[in-house]
Amino acid sequence: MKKIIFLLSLLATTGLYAQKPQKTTLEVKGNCSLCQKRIVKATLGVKGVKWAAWDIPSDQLTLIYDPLKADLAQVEKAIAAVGHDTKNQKAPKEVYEKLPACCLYRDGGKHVD
Amino acid sequence: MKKHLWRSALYCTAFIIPLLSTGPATAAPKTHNTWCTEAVHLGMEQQKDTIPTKEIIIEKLEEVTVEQRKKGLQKSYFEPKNVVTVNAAELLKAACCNLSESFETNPSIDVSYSDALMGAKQIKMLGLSSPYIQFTEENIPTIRGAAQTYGLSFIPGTWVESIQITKGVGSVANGYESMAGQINTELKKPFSEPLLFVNAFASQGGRQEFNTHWNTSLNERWHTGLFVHANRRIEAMDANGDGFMDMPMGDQINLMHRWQYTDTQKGWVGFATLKWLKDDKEAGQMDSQINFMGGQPLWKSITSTERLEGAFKMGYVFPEMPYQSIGLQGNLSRHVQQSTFGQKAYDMDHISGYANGLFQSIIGSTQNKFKAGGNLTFDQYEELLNGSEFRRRDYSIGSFFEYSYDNLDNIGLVAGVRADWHNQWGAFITPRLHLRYNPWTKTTLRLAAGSGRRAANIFTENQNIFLTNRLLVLENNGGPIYGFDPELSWNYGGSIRQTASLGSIGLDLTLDLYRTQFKDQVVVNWENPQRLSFQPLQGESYANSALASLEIDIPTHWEVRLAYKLDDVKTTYDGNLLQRPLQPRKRAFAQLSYQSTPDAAGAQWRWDATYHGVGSQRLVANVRNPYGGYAPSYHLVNSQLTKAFSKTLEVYMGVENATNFTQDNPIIAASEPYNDRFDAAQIYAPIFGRMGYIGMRWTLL
Repeated sequence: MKKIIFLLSLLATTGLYAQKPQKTTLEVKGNCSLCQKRIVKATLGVKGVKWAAWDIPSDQLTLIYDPLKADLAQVEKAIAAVGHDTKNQKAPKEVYEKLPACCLYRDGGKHVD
Repeated sequence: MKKHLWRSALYCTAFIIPLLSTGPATAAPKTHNTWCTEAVHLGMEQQKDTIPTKEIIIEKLEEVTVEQRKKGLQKSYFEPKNVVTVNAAELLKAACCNLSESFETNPSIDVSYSDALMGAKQIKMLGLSSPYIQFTEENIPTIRGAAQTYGLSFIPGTWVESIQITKGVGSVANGYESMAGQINTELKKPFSEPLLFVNAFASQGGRQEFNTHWNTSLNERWHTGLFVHANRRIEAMDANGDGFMDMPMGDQINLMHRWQYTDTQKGWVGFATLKWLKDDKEAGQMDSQINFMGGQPLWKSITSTERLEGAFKMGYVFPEMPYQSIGLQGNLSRHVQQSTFGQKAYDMDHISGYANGLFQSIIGSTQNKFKAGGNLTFDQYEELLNGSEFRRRDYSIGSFFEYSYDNLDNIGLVAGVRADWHNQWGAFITPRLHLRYNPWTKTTLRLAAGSGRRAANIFTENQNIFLTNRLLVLENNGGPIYGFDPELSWNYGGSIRQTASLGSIGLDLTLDLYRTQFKDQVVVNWENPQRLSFQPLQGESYANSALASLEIDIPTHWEVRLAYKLDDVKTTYDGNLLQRPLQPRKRAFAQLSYQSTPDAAGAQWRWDATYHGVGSQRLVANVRNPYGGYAPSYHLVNSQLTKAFSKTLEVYMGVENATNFTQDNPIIAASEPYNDRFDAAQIYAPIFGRMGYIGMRWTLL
């Protein structure tokens, strides 16, 4: 059993070393910690995205991804689909309007409460 | 943009410290410690590695002045394990002075005296005493073996940055010894501490404490600190007139030197810590009793302890992969206790070593994380009890794998397994599972199950056995540890937490239900008034614990905590399943806290009052009461008032046991300490009555 666990962890480790992840930053519109949760969830839902962080005051989404598997256009689409505008993709109006009040970034500028 | 990346890097290093030690990110700016927003706090816990920096968010929130008082006890909505974090502000509510006393304001942990003479406080969680709780200091196992009885009193309260209390078995990463729960203590870090801190305390009964911390940074990467603690009790007091001191006299010197290394660019962090302590206690009869002893010597107890300990830890976060890290930690200690109890003598020399390596990464994305690693432990015990020697060497090697899943919404899971080999009892597997489900945004359900195993160090864990003249019997069954098998238990349980608001009033209701079931246990049997027997468990033994607690946050100055607890703790003694002696079935807890809004200079008033209702406890048969009986239920009230004159100077005063409740005649046959009937271990209430105290804290930033 012990050996199996060691082997498992070794396999997982070598698997990760084999890929060369890349880091990039995108602008994503949003306001608060609720937006943050939604944006990060949508980003991580795209195949090949390993890690994502969205910074509230700067609107910057930092992500680490496997360039062989992930497509950044797909990331922007996925984020727009849950209601947040990116540089190349606008969120559909009907999705935007269903966001919680604190996330309505198109109205009244940035606020974070 | 460059600035942003730098901040990410800073956060990454802040992130590895929680990896090595589950405490809060230590690189957070110290100025925001007490005032912060709940929203930020929850966000931090939800996705520690996806929020870039804490300070940016706080700055932003301060612009719009959304400030809320940070709670002293913090619970997470998103962590699968049932963890309560006790922060520094909460720790200040306790009167004094060391870790054993830090839990008196917390309904999850019960604090009581283990005997009438030694002044040692013992703590219980889920109805089980501290040997069944795994203590870790910055995630390195501590307060084990020889340190079990007095170890909590060897960690000065001012050294503690925060405490994480995990109910239920907890993580597999720290070993297999946790049964009822884990208590992790984060000590103060030179990086985030002020240059100089001084604390002085004095109480009725002649107790005096002094603490000073000095912390500085040598350059951007190296920080160092020196922590000095001294305490003494200089008055022999006998308020109840039984001829024995109510509290031991004694003194302690306790030193800690820490080095901290932080390289935010390259992703390295490290700590090296050296500790040394010397503690002397004198308990027993007052010198004035010599006239009544008929030529016999006074019954005295002298306990002298010396402990040396070194610990190191280092962590590395892959700069390109902030979700991947490596941690290494190790610890070496030697703990020597020499003691006499009347005509009995007990010496203990415990050398202990521990090493742990841990790799943490993700599978696919940060929704699926894992930790894998291994550890080595070594313990050498040499004990001398009235001339009989007990020697033992334990070593074990083990590896673990822990998988965490988070759907980034309402489901979280931590599933861990470890495989260990121990020289005394062979190979075994320890599985542990934690689940979290949020059916609605303000409701959290948690479930946990898992096993724990430990060697019972029967003498050092039960030092109250030396305070009775009962005949000590080891009815062993040929097992490897004092003739006993290791203790084995399964713990199952869960909790429901519901938060709500009534206008601006915040309500937080938690219901915890846990059961610890022993498969193997070394039972301490006090049921026969002439004997004290250690026996292997024959029959059932379990601890069921239910806790309902309600926290009410009334902006902006008041906080109320109410709790009610039922502990059904039963063990089979001589074929009868009985409530464990000196274990209250019911407890009630209430606390009211006030703090004024600090002015620009930081001046503030803080006040709190804490009530404990302790239910009836079963007493074993003894010479006074040949058929046993029940102790009366009773009430205790503590209160403290703090005046902060500025951010750097505070004075506090308070009273413990304000209603002055004490146990009548706590020592059985106190006038005949060499008689077989003498017994100072049957303690259900405080020995010491009302106690006032005063103290000050001064900080040089």
